[in-house]
Amino acid sequence: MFFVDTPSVHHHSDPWTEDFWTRFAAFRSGSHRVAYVYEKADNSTFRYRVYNMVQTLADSSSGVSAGYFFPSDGEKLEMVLKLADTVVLCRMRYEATVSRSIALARSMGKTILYDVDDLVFDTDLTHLILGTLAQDFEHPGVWDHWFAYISRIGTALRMCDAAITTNPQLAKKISDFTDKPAFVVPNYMNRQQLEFSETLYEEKRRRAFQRNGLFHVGYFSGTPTHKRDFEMAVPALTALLERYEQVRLLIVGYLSLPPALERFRNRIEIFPFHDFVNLQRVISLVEINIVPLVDNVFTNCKSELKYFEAAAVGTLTISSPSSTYAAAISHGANGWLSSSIEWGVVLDEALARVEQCDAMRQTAREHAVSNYCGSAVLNAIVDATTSKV
Amino acid sequence: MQSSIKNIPAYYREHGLRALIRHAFRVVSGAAQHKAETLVRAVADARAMPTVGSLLEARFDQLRALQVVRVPDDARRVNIVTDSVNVGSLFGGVATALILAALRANAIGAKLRIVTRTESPDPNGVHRVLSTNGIALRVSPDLTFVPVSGSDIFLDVHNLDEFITTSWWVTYSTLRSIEPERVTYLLQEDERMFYPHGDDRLRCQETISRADIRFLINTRLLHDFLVADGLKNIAQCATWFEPAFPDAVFHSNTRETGAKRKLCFYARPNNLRNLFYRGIELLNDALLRGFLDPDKWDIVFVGKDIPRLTLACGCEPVLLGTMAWDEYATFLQTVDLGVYLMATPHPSYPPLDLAASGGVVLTNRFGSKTDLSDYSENIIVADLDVESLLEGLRQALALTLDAERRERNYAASGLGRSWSEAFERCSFAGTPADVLR
Repeated sequence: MFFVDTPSVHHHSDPWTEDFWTRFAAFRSGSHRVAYVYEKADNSTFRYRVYNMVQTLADSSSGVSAGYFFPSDGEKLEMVLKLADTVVLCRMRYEATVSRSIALARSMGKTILYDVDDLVFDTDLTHLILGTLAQDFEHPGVWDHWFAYISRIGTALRMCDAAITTNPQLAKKISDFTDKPAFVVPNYMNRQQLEFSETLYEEKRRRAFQRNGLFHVGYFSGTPTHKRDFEMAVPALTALLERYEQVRLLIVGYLSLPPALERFRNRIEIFPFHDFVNLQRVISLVEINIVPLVDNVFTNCKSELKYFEAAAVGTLTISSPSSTYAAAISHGANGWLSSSIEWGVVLDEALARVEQCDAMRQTAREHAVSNYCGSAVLNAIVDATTSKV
Repeated sequence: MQSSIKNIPAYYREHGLRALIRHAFRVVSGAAQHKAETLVRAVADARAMPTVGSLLEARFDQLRALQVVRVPDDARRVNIVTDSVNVGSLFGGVATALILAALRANAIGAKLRIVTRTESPDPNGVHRVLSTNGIALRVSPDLTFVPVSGSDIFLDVHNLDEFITTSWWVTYSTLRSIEPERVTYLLQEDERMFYPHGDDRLRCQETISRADIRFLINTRLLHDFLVADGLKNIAQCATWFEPAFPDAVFHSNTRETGAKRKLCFYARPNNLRNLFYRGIELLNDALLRGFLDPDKWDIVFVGKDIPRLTLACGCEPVLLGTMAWDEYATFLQTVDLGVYLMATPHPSYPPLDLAASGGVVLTNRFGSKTDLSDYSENIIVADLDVESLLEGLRQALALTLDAERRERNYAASGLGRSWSEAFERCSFAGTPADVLR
């Protein structure tokens, strides 16, 4: 584990709690106005696909201004739609308000885009998605819930003029599904995340990546829906823990431990979920971040965010070679890729080279902060939100 | 139930007409109720009894349909479906299947997906087999465990998925969900011989007689045996290949001179075809008659579930269990003579592995398996009666001591050394040139 003295950010509060009029003022300030509409602010999709974009446009001199709004804004939403040049519905499930908003915006000649960051719009894939997310097939509500959820997203997506998404693989799936264009705006880190990551990285670098002698492997997607992903790395993790006394596993989330790892419980640290800023600190502590992914069309459309968030704090990643991770990680240069049969070999290599990886950490960090930040993605956001489709 | 009245006039006299009528009604309705209860009980009993379907499912649980979900996608995949790829299952047949499937995936630019049915796959074992045999996959492989017993786990299947199955039960189970024209059954033994005549054998026979799937047969010997045995579908829908023994894995090492020599007996008492009991009879007699000298030979039993035992002259064999792939290859280089019995038409892997590692082998004849000198002159073949085997063992011992002849035979061995060359002979379901005749 790396020595990091930078303290956690106490009393962190999510930065998206501004009132309507503050958001509205920012939205109407530009010559081209983009209204992002999302169901309810959260720490995941909302942050990556709405909050970050609005922040980036606000920081830019592009002339494009943006604001984020919610159905809970009520009647004021109509005013937003009137002033907007482009409306982006982000992962909104079809319902009467969505339908009315689309109809209203269309009647006023606005461009309506749909932003979706997962392959969750085609009901032909429902069974596959449920299996991948380890849902309980016997639960009476599961099928109704997921078919409804996916078809509501699919219906809303099809009603829009074009889509925005995170990577080319998913963009192709969207275009195949809707027969409409799909713009790629990758996920990236916002200002707060980058600033705190820089503090953490600089401290690590200043201390010459000093470690306490333990080798921590981190898994930061510890939700039950990632059970099958995590299981892919379990045989290799078990072997690693068995062979090397200094190895520890750090999991953030509520994943129940697979039986094979139970006997190493005293060497496994489980942390609760963190806000997106303080999560960077936990990631910065570990030597290796792992991103095992079951291989199918659903997981192949996931973005590479687990790589760049770790790289930003000087933590190297071993990932399954899904389309986005394989594009982001150059094996042996800024991280490692592991096929499903190579986790043991690659983890061994990472452990053996842990003291010689400073240059790799630097490369990964530079790659992450220069490619996954607002300024790197600004043009893609502007192109997508100002396009006439 | 109300009992009937024995003397109706006496009852009438004693209780009157109304009481008699009331009693008669109770008797009649009681009988009806009793009948209804009996019927309900019979229906309940029938419900508690298993149906034919559930009996079949329970008896042949391994034949349950492979659970699949159709997914629209155009990625090409080669799926190998097998019981397990864990250490202990990775020798011979399973390793061959992995290697051929990997080469097939590379040849058509597809992803290899390894599907196991009885055990969660061991990624390290798979990696070791492929890397040891010098096979690098062009596309990252995938491992999936789809258990035989019912669960929520399924295989997502695209239109361009093809399947290589590795046993009749896996083939049967796969064909319950996958179109036959996508299935290649890699047949590496006459699997009917695993069973006495009965229900298992019947289903096995039916599966290996299918004319709507592609067969890939391990060795010409086995192919010819099956054709001669009347399997017309094999003659029409099968190709055969000879397995390879890459130098990187199987090669001769100079055996230590002067040290005790090592005799390895393939001991699998629970695999009847390996004739464990005939084997120990043979070794015992050879020791008794004195031409196998325990002072000059270490006797090692390699296999599974081997009982501890004492051979003649108080000699106790060393028992070795399952080895990892590379351990096994290293071990073979220390063996001088292998006694490998196999009551099936396939030569089986252990004799070929050892011959490819420079050792001498005694094995047995079976059906059309009468001579294995095309593989190596270091493989002696004998009939299965004890005297013939003893004579074979005498020849094998002599050959072991004749280093010059043994090395000459090794150098002239006909064993293939390249999986790529072996693969050239193979054709699979789904290839255009492979339209079933």
